[in-house]
Amino acid sequence: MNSTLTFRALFALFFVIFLATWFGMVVFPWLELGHLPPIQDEGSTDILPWDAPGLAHQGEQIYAADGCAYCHTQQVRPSTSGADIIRGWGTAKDESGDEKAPAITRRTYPRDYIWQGQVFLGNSREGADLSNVAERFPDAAGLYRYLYDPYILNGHSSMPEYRFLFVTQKISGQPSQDALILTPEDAPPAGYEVVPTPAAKSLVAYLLSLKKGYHLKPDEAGIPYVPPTPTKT
Amino acid sequence: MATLFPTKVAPRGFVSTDPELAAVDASVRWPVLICLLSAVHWMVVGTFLLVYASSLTHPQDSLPILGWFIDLSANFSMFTYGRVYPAGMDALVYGWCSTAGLGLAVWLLARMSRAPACAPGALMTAVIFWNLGVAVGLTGIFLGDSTSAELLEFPTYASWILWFAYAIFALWAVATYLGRRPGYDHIAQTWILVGLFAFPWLYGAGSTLITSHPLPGSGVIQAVIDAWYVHGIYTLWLAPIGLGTLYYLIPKISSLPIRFGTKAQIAFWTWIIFAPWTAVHDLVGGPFPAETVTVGLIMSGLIFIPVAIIGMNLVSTSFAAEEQQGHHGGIVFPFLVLASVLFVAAGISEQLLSIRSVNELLRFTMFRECNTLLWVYGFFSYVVFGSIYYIVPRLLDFGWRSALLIKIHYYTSVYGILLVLAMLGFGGVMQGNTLENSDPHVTIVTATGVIVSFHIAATMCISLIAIGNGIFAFHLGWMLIDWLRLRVRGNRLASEILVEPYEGDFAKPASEEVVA
Amino acid sequence: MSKANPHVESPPTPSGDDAIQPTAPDFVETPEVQPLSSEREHFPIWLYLICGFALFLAGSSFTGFEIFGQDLLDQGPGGPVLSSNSSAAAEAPASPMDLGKKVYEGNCASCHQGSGAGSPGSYPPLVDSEFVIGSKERLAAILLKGLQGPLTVKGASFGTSVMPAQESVLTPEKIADLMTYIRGTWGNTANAVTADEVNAAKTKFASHSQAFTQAELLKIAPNGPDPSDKK
Repeated sequence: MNSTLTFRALFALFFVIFLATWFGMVVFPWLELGHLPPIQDEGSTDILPWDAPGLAHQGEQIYAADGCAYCHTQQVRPSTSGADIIRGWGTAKDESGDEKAPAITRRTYPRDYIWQGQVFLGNSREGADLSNVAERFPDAAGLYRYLYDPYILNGHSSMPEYRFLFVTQKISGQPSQDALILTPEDAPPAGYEVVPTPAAKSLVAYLLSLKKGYHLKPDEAGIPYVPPTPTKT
Repeated sequence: MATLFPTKVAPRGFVSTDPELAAVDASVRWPVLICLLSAVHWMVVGTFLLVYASSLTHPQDSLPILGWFIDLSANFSMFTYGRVYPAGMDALVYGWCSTAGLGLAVWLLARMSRAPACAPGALMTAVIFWNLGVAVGLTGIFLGDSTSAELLEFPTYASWILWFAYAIFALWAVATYLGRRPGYDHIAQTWILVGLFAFPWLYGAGSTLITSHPLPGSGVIQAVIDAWYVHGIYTLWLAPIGLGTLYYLIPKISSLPIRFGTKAQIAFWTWIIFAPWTAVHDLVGGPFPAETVTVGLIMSGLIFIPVAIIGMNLVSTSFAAEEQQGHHGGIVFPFLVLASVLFVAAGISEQLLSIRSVNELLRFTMFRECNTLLWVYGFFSYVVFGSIYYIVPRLLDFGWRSALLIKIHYYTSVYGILLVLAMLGFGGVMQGNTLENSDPHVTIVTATGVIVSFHIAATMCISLIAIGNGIFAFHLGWMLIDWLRLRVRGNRLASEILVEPYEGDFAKPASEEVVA
Repeated sequence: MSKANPHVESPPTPSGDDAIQPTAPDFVETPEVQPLSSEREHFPIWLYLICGFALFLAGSSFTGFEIFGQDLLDQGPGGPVLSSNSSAAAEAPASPMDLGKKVYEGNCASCHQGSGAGSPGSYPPLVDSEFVIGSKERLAAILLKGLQGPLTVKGASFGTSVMPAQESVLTPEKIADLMTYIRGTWGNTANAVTADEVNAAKTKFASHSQAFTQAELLKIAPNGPDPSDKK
């Protein structure tokens, strides 16, 4: 039966079929979502989504090099598509305007990612979703300690320790400002301190930029937007 | 009394009863051999890396010996899970599956063209560069240049090498197909050709758009491209090469034509139309257009059509062959039968993931890894094992050393892969149930506690697979050493049979006579 | 073997029942057969049944009739919800301790640790802390407005980090559950806190916009059990 199709016909058919799937799966979404512009927030002068400081963009390299995306996702699915909202991963403090506004709980939209050089949506949840991780770790010190010893928070954790992101050095004169404050099990010997490397600082800066506490209008994909009803605080 | 495996292999020689095919084999001997041998090397590397990576996924107090592994990964960036795991997967996909796939494609195309292959030197260059590309890529990942996009982690400098090597293979394949003897077309040729055609498209687009020239501001499209690429590799590269090999070897070894053969063409075309859409399994619920995802779920939901037909083709032929011949076909057939069954299992797994509610449950769990391993370690690896057991004696004119080692390899591999798939699959369901629990008190901490034992079980099962594969590699090495001793030292063994050169005319159709 | 090399003997025939025969298909080139059978065979009925079911499942994605799930489109009204408690509203009521534990693990454990031990010099411990098991109003003040400056807890001094205010992140119900949890776990045996008490504290400190200092906290209430905590 094969011989009825010449080489050229065969390849022409392959080409057409692959072109169709390529168009359907890649080109069409790219036309819809590949050029999303930022928008102006209504309540304030913010440009949304928030861009991260330069150090955070460097942190993306560390995030990629050390493969954090193999265990952590950065996408919050809507409540109709999963329990991400129930897990609390979509909740962020509303920093877009009124201090008294209630926390924002929402899915992630395509426009949330337009400033990220590398997008780490992720496919596996060995660990929590990180879209709003800055809400759960309010400052760098907590993140440094967690990277140094993840078992602090979760004794079952399968997250590896990232001690190579830190340097144990002798205290010379004054202890360093960045020195980690560690529990007795992890603490270095007396006279030594544990200090984050520049790689650790950029990674933590990136993680601290991961919060989505702003309201986002629906983008061209036609996501319906329900404005929040202000509650009495 | 028929046994699953014979307890003695043939004496050291190998009997080639078709001189024409023997000549074809001889013409592609070195490229195919080096492809297969280097593939086995990468398989050993990749398996070791995956065992190590798997051992890092459960806490150290589960097995005290792991403390040393974990200290290594904590203190050296090269050994952290996020570098070892992608390196292991890439070593398996590009080093083991793809290299072996290229070797199989070359051998099959040469055989089905029934003419001695052209330009074997160019093929050798291609093989060497391909291996170089894989080695450079893996080094890049360990040094921290990984892109973190699944299966596209190789940095730019490695992907260019792979591209160049592949171009040579592709040109050779086209030349061979065009130079084939007319009137002898085989469905395996069509399968192999679609795989060879799809790979440059996939790899070219994927590596360009993700690695070397990512589109600025593309945001979530990066994830779309990566998903398209990963599932394209499984369905348009690994599946066609694997299925082509099965469609060739199963009728060849059993001398039975493929049953339900009239439907095989339908299976082929429906597969390449529907199967690539399985990419949307990684996009459901995420920040992507609803239309693409819905269309994709329907298209990938129709994957049961080709899977059912191919399953009936391959599995029923194999079972019919077993009945007819009264034994299980020697050393190659069990692997091919298992490969066919695991292909159907992979198809069922993709079908499950195309149901929206199942996808929501299992999307971010270990089940996804089960799906990956079904394609890479399950289906394709068994095709390659069976093919290596079939092809290498023909290339070396030399027999395997020990049926016992083959038997051990088969059983450890089978138990290992079936158990690891069960552990990952069931663990994924448990993990999914916990992550998707509507009770807000359930946190990620609960979920990690649930899956600890599954991780431990998976590590043990992967170690079992590693043992089996190690035995296979050892056996292969033993065979090579004995063969080299024969060649180098000239130890002529009394029982050795050599293949006679073909003195006939290639223009004439192959002789009907079988020399027994 | 008619084409055997005349310089080499034939191989000895393997003996024994279980020896592989030289004509086994692995070791000889079997006769070429037509690869695909051209018989018109029909698939068995069970295959059609299974495929029909699979077709139904595939189509259900399109028609919106999902056996287990809901929406037709990939996105639903996943916009901002009223408060982060609303998804829990439909569930069976759980104890304040369980709810408080969840809040703690999500918001506080990263600094004060899952065991409540804190970190020497930086984050005070909550175990047996006079601020936790003491006055409820004072504890509510810390949670609502935050804490800054040096702090002495159980004789040890802390103060390099600022505790952020939780007022805009947590509702009064959640703060009450959190307070109940930390007052009643890790060996602490102080009594529970209601949302009304938190709301009262919220009203009282509404005009205090800065984070509290230790001096201000000690003015709110001295160390010692809360007046409502009768042992």
